[in-house]
Amino acid sequence: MLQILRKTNIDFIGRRYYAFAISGILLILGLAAFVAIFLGKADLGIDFAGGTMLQGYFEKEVTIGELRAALSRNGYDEAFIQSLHRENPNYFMIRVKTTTDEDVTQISSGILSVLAKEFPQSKFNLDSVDGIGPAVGKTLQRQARWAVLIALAGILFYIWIRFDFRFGVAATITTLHDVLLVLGILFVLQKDITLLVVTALLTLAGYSLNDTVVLFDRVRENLKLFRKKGNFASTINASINEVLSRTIITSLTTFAVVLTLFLVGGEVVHDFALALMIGIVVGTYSSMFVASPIIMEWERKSPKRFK
Amino acid sequence: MRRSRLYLILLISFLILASFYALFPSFKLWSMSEADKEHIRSTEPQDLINLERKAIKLGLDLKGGMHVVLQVDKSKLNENERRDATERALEIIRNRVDQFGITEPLIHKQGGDRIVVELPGLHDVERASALIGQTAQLEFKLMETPENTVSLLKKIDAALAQAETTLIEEEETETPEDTVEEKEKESDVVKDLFGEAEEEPDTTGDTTSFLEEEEDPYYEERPFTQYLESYEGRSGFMVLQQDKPKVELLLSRPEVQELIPKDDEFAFSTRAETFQNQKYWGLYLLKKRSELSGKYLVDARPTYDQFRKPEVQFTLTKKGGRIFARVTGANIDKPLAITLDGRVESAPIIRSKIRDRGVIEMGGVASIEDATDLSIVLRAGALPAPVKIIENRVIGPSLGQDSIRKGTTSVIIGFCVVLLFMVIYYRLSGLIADIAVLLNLFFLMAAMAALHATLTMPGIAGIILTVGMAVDANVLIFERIREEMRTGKTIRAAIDAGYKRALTAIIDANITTLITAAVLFNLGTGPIKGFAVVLSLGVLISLFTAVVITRVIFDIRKGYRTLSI
Repeated sequence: MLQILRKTNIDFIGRRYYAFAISGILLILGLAAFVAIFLGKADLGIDFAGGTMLQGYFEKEVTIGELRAALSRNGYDEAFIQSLHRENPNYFMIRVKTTTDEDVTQISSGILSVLAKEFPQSKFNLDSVDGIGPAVGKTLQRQARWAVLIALAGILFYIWIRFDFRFGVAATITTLHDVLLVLGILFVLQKDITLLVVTALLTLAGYSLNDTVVLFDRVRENLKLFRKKGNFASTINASINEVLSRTIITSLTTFAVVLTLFLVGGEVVHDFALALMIGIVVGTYSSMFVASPIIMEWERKSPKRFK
Repeated sequence: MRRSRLYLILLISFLILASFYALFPSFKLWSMSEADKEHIRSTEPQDLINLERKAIKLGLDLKGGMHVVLQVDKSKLNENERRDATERALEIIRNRVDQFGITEPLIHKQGGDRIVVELPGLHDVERASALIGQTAQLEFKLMETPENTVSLLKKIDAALAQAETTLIEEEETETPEDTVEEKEKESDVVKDLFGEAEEEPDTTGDTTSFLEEEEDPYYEERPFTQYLESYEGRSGFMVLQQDKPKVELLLSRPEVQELIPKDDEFAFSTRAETFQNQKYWGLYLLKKRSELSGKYLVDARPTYDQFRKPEVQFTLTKKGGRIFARVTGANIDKPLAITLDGRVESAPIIRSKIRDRGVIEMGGVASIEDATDLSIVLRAGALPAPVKIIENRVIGPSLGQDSIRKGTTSVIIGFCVVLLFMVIYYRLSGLIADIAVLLNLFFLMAAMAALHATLTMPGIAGIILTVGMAVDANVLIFERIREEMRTGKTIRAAIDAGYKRALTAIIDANITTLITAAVLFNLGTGPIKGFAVVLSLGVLISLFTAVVITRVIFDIRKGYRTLSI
């Protein structure tokens, strides 16, 4: 029998204060990102902020510097330009966040006419355009905010039905913790918050709960078994150790497929995969070091099961 | 027990057969080469359409195409018109798109005043947005007389010159560079005007003579008309492409707006023209009164004139013809502006009285596509209210192909990693889990085809994620069986306990994922919906494949003396 882990006996609960410190610091980052998003300071993708993004390639060599200079000469000095090297060294992504209440196609055709004028010898072949007006961005922001709230409320509700109040609260705090932590890390990495990233965060909320749910399921089962003997901390520790190999194997397989997506999936799903990868690590960590200690601390403050 | 197992095996066999049936059109379509498709398209087009309908639909992000959201501006409508303006606009746009000839366009309402238009396989943004976004309000308007035009322009120059001298002290921001540039432009204009100096004055609304008189090296005194040029034989003025924003700005200034008579308006041309290697826009001073509108139009067709230039031939109703005959009869040798959504398509000189048949000239730069599109929008009728494109996404065919290739590669690699890991780690049991994962993918694709769901790039990501997550159920079960065996249970008891005890955790864990998938389905755009569909189908199917199907196999293994796990 091949085993990653032999029977383990790690004292997870005993190390909870280190975990609280780490989570605390990262949570502050997450909260900062959250506040920044609401104040409009974070890098929202054009889905939410509105703006125009063009992708395409020049037929002859054009450097990123030349492109930047040409655009800023023509009033697009805040354009964000990225070289994508997609089978073509002259492949660029140009993004402007300026939006007008006019037709969104005007901005893309404006940029295209600048490119045609500035690089007459090297035709720009357009591969994709995303033009999003401010009204659409606002609608999507509102939808995304509601989606996050409804998803969290739904999960909380389900956990409350399936477990008791304390487990429900602990699971919800853990889920919020995971989402905020990933958001904070993305914020530090200066990733744009796009619709796909929000999708990843929501998927994560569902996924990271898996580990917590599986663990709580085991804790619940063991609590029944150990009602007469043992104490609460050792019951939880035993439960974490029992499901540890499952947690690690599942996290590994899921991490492996998401890593594949990150490496070969291409530009479109790049940040999506990154958010999921961080989320899988955070979710695994939090089920052991956040969810269980919360139950533990609660039980210590007001004992309910072991009097 | 034995009988229920038989039923299960029958059910699984049935599902596999049904999935083959559901996936057959997709296999057939995707294995076809472009040449094969072209062949069928030319011989049995309906066959191909049916096949495409039954196959898994690819989203715009994979197939390439255009996604547009339009906002209907109802601000100028009255209560009655407002009620069904969006529906009427939708019908007219549908009509236009149908005539444009795109396979399977998708046009639907979103909220009260938005219309979503999806045009797969279309990449010419400018053309499509012009076709969809035009209100297509066709009007015939007379131009203001040359005398009145000249006097208005003089007044505008004077007013702007005065405003500038009062502002000049405050506005020191103008850099020397700007001034040099403007002086250069100025000399260009003067040169052009000299070049035209020999031309005889024309009475037909040509204002060349006026600009010639005003050859003044001090551009400050002609702050407005320095940007205008005029050529013999052309009605209206011409504005250099780079000067257009400046001219628009000047025209919007309150002191200029004040001077324009109530029944006159300035209008630009619908498109720029290249003249002596420079791009120019036409600028016209029109009478606001609409002499005739597009509602009297019965037909419009693209044709060529004798110089092979595209134009649009139109036919008017009887009543329209009567009005047109009166207007044209009374204004022979004067220019008549044909405007589309307030911009001048052309301004030909009326040579004789026209009744119910006429021609819209489109100028030298227009292509036959422009003429075709103009005919389409004229035939489909004007939109009840102006529409504005508030979201526009275009995905080129190569980018879609690129996404498909990368998505498929990641699915295959991710899949192999998981399959290999399971076999190495759980050996024979791992192989059984692998069969479950393979069936999961197979059923998932079949369900997508049967439900006419759309596969998008995030959807492909969802497939990969499902593969990673689908093994979780089996990992839970296998780990539990191992644990039970460690406590000294028999194989039979360990398998039973493993399945039974792992089940609650599996269901709880999957339902939370389903909740988020349901929420995601209601969020935003097509690609995300595609992800939500794949994720929820994948989770549901994995419950069946990982729990029910593997159970059937494990039940058979219960009788064995050793268990490879």
